[in-house]
Amino acid sequence: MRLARPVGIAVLAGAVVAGFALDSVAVRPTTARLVTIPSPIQPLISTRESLSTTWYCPGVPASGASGETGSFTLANLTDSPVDASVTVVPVGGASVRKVVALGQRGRIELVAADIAPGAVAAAMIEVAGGSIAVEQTSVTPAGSSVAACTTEPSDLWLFADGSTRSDASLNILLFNPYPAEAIVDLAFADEDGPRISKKFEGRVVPPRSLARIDVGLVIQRKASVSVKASVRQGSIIAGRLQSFTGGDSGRRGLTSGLGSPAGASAWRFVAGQRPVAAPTDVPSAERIAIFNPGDNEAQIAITVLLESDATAATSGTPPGAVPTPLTLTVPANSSAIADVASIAPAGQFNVSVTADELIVAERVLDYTLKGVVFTTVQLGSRLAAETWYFPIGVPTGATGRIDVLNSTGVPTTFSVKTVGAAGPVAVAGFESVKLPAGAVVSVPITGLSVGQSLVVEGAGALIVERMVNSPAGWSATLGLPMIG
Amino acid sequence: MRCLVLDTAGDADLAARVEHLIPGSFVRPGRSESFAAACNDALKFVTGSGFLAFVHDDISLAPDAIRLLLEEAYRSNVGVAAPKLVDWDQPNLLSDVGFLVDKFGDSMLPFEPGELDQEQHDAVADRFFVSSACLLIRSDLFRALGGFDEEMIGPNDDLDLCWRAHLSGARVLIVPAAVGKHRSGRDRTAVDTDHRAERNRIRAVLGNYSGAHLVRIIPQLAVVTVVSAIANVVAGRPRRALALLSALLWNGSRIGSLARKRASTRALRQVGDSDVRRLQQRGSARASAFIRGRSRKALSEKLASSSRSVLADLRRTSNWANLAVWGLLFAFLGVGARDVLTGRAPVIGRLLPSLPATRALLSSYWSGWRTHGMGQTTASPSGVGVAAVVSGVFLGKEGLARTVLMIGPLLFGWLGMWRLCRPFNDARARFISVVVYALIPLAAQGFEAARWGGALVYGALPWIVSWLVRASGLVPFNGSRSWPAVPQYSFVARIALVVAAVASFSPVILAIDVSVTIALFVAITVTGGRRSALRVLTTGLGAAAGAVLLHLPWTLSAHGLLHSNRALHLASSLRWIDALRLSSSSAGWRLGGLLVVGAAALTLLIADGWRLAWALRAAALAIASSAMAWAGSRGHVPLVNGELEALLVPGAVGVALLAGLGACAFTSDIRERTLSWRQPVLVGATLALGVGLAPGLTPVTNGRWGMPTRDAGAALRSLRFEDDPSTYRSLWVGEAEAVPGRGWPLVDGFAFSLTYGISPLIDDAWESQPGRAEDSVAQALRAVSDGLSNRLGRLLGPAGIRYVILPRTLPNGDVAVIPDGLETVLHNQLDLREIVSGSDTIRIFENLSFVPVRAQLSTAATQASTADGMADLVRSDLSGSTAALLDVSLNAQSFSGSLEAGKLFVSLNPDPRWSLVQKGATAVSKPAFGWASSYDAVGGPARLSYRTDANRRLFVLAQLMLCGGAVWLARNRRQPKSVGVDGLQIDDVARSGLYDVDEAPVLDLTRVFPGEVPTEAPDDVVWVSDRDGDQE
Repeated sequence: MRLARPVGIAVLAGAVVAGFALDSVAVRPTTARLVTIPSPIQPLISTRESLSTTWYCPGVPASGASGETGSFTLANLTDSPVDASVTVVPVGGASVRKVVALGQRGRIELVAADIAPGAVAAAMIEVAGGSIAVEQTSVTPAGSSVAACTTEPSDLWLFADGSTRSDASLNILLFNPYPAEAIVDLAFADEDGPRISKKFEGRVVPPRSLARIDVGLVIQRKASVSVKASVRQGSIIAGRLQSFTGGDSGRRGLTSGLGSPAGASAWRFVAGQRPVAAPTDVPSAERIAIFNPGDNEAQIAITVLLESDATAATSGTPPGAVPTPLTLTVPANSSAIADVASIAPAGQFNVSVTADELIVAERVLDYTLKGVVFTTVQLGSRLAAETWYFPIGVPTGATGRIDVLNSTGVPTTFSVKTVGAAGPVAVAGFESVKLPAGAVVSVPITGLSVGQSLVVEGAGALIVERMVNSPAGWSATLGLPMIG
Repeated sequence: MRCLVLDTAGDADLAARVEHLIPGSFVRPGRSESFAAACNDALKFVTGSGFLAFVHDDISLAPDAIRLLLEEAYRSNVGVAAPKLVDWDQPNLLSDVGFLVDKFGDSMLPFEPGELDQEQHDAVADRFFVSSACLLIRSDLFRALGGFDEEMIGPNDDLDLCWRAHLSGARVLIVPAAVGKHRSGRDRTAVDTDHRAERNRIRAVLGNYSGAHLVRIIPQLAVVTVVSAIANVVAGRPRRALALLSALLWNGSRIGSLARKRASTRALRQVGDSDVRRLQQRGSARASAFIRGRSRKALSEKLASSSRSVLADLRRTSNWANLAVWGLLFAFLGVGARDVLTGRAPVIGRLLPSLPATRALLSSYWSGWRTHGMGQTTASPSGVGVAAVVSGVFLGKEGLARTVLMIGPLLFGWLGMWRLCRPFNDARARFISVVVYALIPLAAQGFEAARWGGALVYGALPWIVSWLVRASGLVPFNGSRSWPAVPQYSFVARIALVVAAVASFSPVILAIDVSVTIALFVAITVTGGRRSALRVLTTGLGAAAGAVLLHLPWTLSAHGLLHSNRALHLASSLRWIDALRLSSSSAGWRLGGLLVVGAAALTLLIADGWRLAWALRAAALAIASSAMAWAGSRGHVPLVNGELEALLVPGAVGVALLAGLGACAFTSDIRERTLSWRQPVLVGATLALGVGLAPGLTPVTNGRWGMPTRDAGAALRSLRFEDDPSTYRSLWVGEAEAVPGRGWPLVDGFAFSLTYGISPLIDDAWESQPGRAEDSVAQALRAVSDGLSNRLGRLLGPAGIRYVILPRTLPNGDVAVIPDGLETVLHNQLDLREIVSGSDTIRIFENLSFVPVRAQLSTAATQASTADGMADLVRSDLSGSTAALLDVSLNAQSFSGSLEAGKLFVSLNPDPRWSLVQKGATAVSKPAFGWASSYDAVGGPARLSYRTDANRRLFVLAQLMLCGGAVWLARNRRQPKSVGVDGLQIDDVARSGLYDVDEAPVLDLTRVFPGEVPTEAPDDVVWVSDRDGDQE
């Protein structure tokens, strides 16, 4: 018994110490995620096999008036026919549901005014099983615009560029496709700084309805207006309908499309070009609109990346050299405009925008044609993918090009295909286009089969833009990346 | 004078022995049911005698005793006369001079315990009754009275006989000139005869008072009985308390027999109750005996003890000390739970759910159909049966039953700890152990987290440990007169019963029983006692196996019992330091826990002998418990389900034992020693213990013993869901502890559960194996969480899910985590509408595509129901279906109403035992949506009902029989290998000398049973009651 005490106490103390030792090395458990859906970034096509897919289009003109038209183009990406349920929701009117059949790899264009007329109409397209892609087209006397629709609603939408000058009209479209009402707060920033209007706080968007907000009623006569739509309850799809009517400035153009569902610290724009001479198809002005929706000041760097030796030769800049970035500071909840021309050499380039805060960057391109300035606005890309899809392809009566950027550091190839009932078919001459590292290749799409979708397939990560030039004006759009 | 020996044991040698010692005697077989029955046989065997003298076989009368009794009987014209009895071993001590009785039949001795016989009681005196150990009665009176009441088996048959003698006008006298020696081995209020004594006493009271008097007596008797039961609980004699209460029930169940007894008593009544009352004592004999600390049990113990005067003193003081300690504990319990006692225990989290009507519970248990989830045929949890019994015991008073079930275990645990420390034979140690155990706030920690399992285990474990250590047979748990020996199988049965009862609601007790057993096995093996350790091991593991057996067939179907819900643990992994200080979370009782554990551990330094050995074992138990909790919080222990407090209860028992052993060590190992380092250590430990335990008083502050103030049911009712809750379900998704009832894991840390209507039912408190329907719900949730669809409403519609609910608050009021992004996902569903969004406690989405649980389907839905799988479901418009068969039976297993011709859809896991009967014909079930059922409705009245299998009924009956068998085994004490004598320890008989053999061989009946050699150790004392002799 004499030994029992020390031995017993030693054993027990050893157990306690062992517990501490185990505790210190034991791995703290981590909690797995239930929801695996990534936060919305930009419109894309998911290649995962899903039970059902719903596309949301923010809104197109649907009055049916002369010179105004809006349509939704649906493309079946699969080799099986699918039925799509299309619900068109006009502003202030009752929604109308229509079921349309899409043949294998088929495409259909639905005119909004034919289904549910209204000043503006949004659409919700639902398919079970199969996979589709949807774009919308807007045409008004001010111009035309082609834009991608999205599968992802969001509780935040950001628009960097906008104007409420006398020759401009800026409308924000708030589309609530869900059975519960959404409550949205709108905040603005113009060249004078942040602007908040009580009128646009707590806006209720009823279930399954579309609301149109005329920003000019509050923010008047401002050349640069950024908009932030925060959803307090529910989720929505928000779009912008910006038109320049060619007043005193003679500026024209229409921008109709989605905002950005989130801020980001890096944005990429594919096609930049400073005219060496004075051709008609290069922009006369290229600006980057920056919106910092956060509560912290943002430091922005805009870098022009030279694309080829030719550019270097014409600009006198050594190949591979990178011009000094343009830096600027954007206060919290404020916006800024940067002129790319001030740093860009003559020739082709692409633009990268980086920031130390989450911002939104849009490119504003002005094209001058016969004395008329056409403006188009395009959101930067945050994604690179091997395959990019353009459901509309080449609009009827339009010309244009596709700009393909190799966003990687290694050379790659890509092909351009049209999609018909037989499936994707490579366009002659574009079966395997070489694309050096960091370079951009422009592919003219004029003359390609009208009424067919276009696909750009690369061997590496690409970013692809489409520029459409129709009699009604210019429209620059990102394609829909296909992501697994 | 002739002697008749009635042989009630069938002893072949008896006649020869009687003939040898008492020539000319008669030996006849007697009935062995009871002493009363055997004595009544005298009426058959004996005729023509004027008097009968009944004498026990442990009586040795003086040679002139019978003569003196007869002389006094003639002289005083008495009906019943008895001699003065003195102690067998010390004839100068009084043993029996008749009894005084109060109006409740409670008897008391007319002398002080241990009083010397100095002829101070040698006057002939009237007594209310005299002991049947030796009494003389007129033969005609005995015949007129009908002999002893044969319903009375055991003590107090003499009380009844004498009471009736008084009623017939006869006198009952004590004749002290006649003397006999009595072994007094069995006191009439000894623990093992409590039940019979109390039954017989109350039967005598109810049978012998007149009707008018009885009206006044019965309420008083009830009050005195209940108060007495409470007092006995307080005094640490729960079995005696149980005896009192069960005596009431026993008599209540024999109304017919009582009526017959009263009729025969009425026939012989010559004297009114007022005259009889004059022979009785005023007040309550029981109360005064308790207060004066001289109950006859105490007397018995004192007489048996060599140091009885010291013990008597201790007894007196401990009664008051017991009363004080238990008074404080009761106050602690009552004040701490005042709001619950005066109001209602909340229904939230893992606390006991609302209890439906007893009939509904019984019906559910009997049927075998579980409503949990989407319903399924499987063994109902035994807990439903237990809940039915409890509900019945409380006469359907649901609030009271829940309160008692939730608060009662605390008291039960304290009593268990009191019992566990009894062999220490140190009142201080018992107080300290119980107080330490009471102030370790494990139960409160569980209640704060809205978990009940910890409290249940807290109540049960001291008893389990107590039986395990007794099974070890180690000092000081190796038996005593106050703690009679029990065979090992009885310990196994007791532990199995307690484990099974607790496991009905908290299966973790099985893991705890096994771990405690193994910890004790290892500790006892290491500290010496391999055989004892083996006994502990076999007892504990046998009990666990027995508990599993008692839950058959539930255990066969309860897959959930066999693996822990890992989801629950990941969010709350316990740090080792928290486990050591017996805290289930890192909050609260920080310093207090460390001080208490540290102070208790100091016992290891100061104790010696068996106290040190048990201190080491108790410390091992505490560390093993901490290790279990640590591992359990990480999902490595089965059956835990988040009830970390339960895993820490063995630690609390160990620490309380350590503290008690420290007190023992003070008395035995320190007090007598010279001043050394041990005394300062003890002082320090005492101070630390006091300071550390102070925070344990905090449960008193909120008046709910830490339970949340929020009632989930009330909160949901406030949302005013008006529709019939039997027509839809709700899907709860969130932290596993935040969803009501037992759910199914989704991903680590999160689970989903289903409830009928909006509130959980009692059946939801137990897990069930997910069927295809539950799997389909999980798949739907995962699909939308992966972004594969935004039609969750359609996917959930056939499951009858009308509401999707995300709890944002844990039962304890803390914020519950909602799975990242899930709210957004639900907002983005095209057929879900958020209807409660601003609440801090809950998010509720309404499913616009839900189909009622019993529905007549729309045309589109009918078409859709033929499809199978989510891909078909998302494209199906299920709207337009209407609820049907709205008349619901109590147990929700029969639905009736009028149907229109078409399709009846039933959202239950399919089962052929469900049938739809319309116009006398049974419709054939068809599959719907791949997992549900549908029937072709012809129109008109219809009834959908569930038919219980005969197998299920057999299983229930078998389970009841198993439980009955376990109870029987648990009650068993060790039986003698050789038959002893009434009231005698066999070894004592063997050792004892015979009294006055030469002078009175005829009357010395103990000579009849010589030479019974003890075959058991002294702790294997056996008491027998069915072997008596009588003489003519």
